[in-house]
Amino acid sequence: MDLTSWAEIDRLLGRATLRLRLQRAFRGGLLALAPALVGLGAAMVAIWAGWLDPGFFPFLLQVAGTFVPICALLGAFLPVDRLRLAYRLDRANDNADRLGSALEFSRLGLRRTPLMELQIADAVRHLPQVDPARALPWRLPAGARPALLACLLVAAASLLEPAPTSRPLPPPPPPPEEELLRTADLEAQREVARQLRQEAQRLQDPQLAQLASDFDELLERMAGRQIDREEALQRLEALQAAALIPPPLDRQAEELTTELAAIGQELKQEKVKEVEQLADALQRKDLGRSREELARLARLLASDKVPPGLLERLGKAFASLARKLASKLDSRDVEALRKEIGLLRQKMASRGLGAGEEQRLQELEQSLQQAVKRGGGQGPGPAAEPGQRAVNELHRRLDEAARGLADAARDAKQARTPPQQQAAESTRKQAGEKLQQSAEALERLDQARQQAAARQAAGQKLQQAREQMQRSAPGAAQSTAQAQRLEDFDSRAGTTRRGKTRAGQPAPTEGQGTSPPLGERGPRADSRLPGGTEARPAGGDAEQPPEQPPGKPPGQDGRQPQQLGRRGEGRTPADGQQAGTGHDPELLGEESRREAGFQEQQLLGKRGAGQSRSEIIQAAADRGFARVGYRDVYASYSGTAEEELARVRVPAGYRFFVRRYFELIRPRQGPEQGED
Amino acid sequence: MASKEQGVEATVAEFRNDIEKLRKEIARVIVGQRPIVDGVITCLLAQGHALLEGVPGLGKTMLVRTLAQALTLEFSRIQFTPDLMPADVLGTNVIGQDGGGGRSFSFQKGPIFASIVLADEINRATPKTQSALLEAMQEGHVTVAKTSYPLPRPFVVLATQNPLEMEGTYPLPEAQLDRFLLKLQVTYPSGEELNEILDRTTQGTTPRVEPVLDGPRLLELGQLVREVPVASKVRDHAVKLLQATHPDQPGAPRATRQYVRYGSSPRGAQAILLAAKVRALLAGRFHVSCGDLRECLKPALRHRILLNFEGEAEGISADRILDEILAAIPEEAV
Repeated sequence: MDLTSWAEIDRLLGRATLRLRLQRAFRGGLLALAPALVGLGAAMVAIWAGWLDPGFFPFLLQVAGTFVPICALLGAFLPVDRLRLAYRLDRANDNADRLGSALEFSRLGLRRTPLMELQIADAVRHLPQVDPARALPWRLPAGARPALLACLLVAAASLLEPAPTSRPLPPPPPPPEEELLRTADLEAQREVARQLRQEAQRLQDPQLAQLASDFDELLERMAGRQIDREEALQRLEALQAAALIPPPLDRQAEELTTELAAIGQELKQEKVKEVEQLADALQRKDLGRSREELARLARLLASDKVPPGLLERLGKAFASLARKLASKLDSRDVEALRKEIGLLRQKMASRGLGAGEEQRLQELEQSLQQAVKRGGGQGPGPAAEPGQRAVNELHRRLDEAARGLADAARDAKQARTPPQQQAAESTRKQAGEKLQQSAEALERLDQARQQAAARQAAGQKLQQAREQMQRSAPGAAQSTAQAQRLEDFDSRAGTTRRGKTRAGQPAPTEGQGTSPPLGERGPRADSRLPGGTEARPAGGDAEQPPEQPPGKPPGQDGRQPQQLGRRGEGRTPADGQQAGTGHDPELLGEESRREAGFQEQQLLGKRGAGQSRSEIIQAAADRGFARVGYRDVYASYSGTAEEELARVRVPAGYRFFVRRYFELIRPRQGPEQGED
Repeated sequence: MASKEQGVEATVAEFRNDIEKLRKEIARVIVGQRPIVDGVITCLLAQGHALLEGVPGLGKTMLVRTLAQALTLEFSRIQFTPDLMPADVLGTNVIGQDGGGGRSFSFQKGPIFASIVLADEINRATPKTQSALLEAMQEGHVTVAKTSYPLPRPFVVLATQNPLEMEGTYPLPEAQLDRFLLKLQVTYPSGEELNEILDRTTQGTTPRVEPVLDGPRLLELGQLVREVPVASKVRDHAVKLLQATHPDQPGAPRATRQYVRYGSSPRGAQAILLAAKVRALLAGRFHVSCGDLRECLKPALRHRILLNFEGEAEGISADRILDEILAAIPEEAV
């Protein structure tokens, strides 16, 4: 074989091999480009979605950029089968397998036959018609166009501004506009505020007026939803506290009224005709009428028709009144001083006192020493409060009036000459003025007392408003304060609930035992619990009367049928939860004593249709059940119904009927409507 | 070395020249039918036998007779009929009297003792008579009464059969068919060829065929054919093509698995390769290409594929099966 000829074949195959490697590198790069693009696209989507840090993208880009040439190199350096390549060249160039056969024959070496040599020479002769480009054309592999298009898209997308990873949070949703008070309830509270204003105007109480004004303003802010529930409750509580804290004079007024009632009773026993009305009014705590009586006596003294002996009797009566009042006030002063001193000393022993409190304690101790030294009381000490001073003023006026009356009576006896008579008359009129001043002091005391009562009532109304708002709070049904509020509500409604009666007597408690009907004997509870603990009668373990022997159910004689047959209850809360295992040894109780004086009565009925439903209801109202305004009752019960609807699983249709019912019984808008 | 190659190259050139002369002589009588003529020449050069199948009147017998005339070879023609006996083909022992008056058995050669035997309408003979050709076609000799008589070389049986007339015919057994190197299907001539046929056969002059090749030269050419090299990849391709005719082979195409009962025997691959070598030489090449194999696939294997019942019922031909095999095993599979 001619080496020169064979070199031509080898050169041709080398060109074809190089072309094949390039194509493989290109194909390998394209094949690697597809997953790289897919990965980059996924990474970009993740970056736009905020799942991936944008700083990670360059790294991915580098990985993809490295992956593609690596795959291209791998493709380029894959081994090439030159024999297959030769046959491939033959196929593409219609060379009748000359190259392939020649390559095979060339590998035989000396075993080549002359025909093989001729074949190789024939293949060499046909080399010019062999073109590697026909066998290895540059063609895009399948899927290359979509891959290139995807590459362009990714490149274009990478130029876009990625979405910021830390996107601002959307504004928080506005808090739900909770309805602090329903419209009807709000109207009812506004009516309360109006009543407070009227009361303040009537009593000329600026503090009550301010309270009404603040409450009205609070209601308006609640209606406008300018404050939330918590703030509204806090303000209501503050208003309530302000209303329930009376001024110093108010604190003294009620106490003095009580003491005046006792004085009036004592004064009544002195049988002074002219002051009987005054004594009666004082005894009845009717300070208004007492003031009128004092004013009447003052007018009587100011007139010229003074009955004989009147001045003397009045002088004695008012001297006695002033003396008794002074005695009460002195004892009360001493007691009050000692009480406050005791509190401060107790506080000093436990936590210590501040600088102001120590000074106060020293002043109180000096005042107490002076009060003890005075014995009869010579006026308020330095520690006396303004209210105390007002009360003392009343005492001083009365004392002055008594002394004036005594002087007037003495002057009237000793007046012989006209000048003396004029002086006596002047003294009498001065005594009358003193009485008039006493009447005015009493009037101020009366007014203070009324103001205190009005503020007390206002405080209760504010408390009711606060409770109503708490009940309408979402989730309030589950709150622990609900039970207490319901209990308070029940107490105001005059009903019993959860083992307590209004009198504080034990009552059947849910889960602890049941009371049999009246007159029946219930099973005796097992008074002995395991461990030797004695059980107590059920119901109100905290309110157990001390005289009740533990473990022995009361009412065995049938006189207290409400407490018969209660299950035993242990001292621990868990006791009494189970049924008893024994019975009362005196199950039947004592026999009715024949010597007891029974009187048989027979109730006679009336034949007829009886009362209609409305008559029965009205009659029940007449008996005094409804002591709370209908608006308040409605507000309370509708709130309770809403709480139950929120707590209990009620079918939707039933919810509608419940709410419809309360809509039907809703109080009318007029202030005069819906009241008691 | 170069001189040897030049000598071989000259031999190949002479080969092509002689075959071209033979073609021209045949073409004096036979119009067209180039594939059939090449196929018959291929069988001559490969020392194989040919089965020509075609409807009557297409010149099968004429072709064989013309070929025999163009070759300086002994030619015999046997008209196969149902009453034809093996002895009528092979020959028989007869009692003869010598010059001394003695009598003895002597073998009387039958018509098969010729270099070119035309077995006309071979499927009309009984299988017994058809089988009498087995030994002669495969072994090149005839055994009668325990005495073998060699056949002349070259020995080529060119059989014809009519595919239309089925009554009174006996299909050739598979063993007999396998002895034929190629099965050539003679088709109708084209219009141009038909005009030429009419011109030649309806005039007063009859074409005269001159012999151009003799037996020894034909054997030399046959030896040259067998020396044509075949690359291993090309041979592998021939093997793949042959295996594709077997339905139990993993790479068999769907048509083979569905319609073929038995595939070709190894003689089929031999036939493909020999025919491809002849074709390569005739094409002026010194090697066999895959294209040569694929061109020779149908004539070499179409009579070696046994269809199953489904294939017979569906009227599937062997050529269709081979077409699918060619499609299933492309040349690029090398």
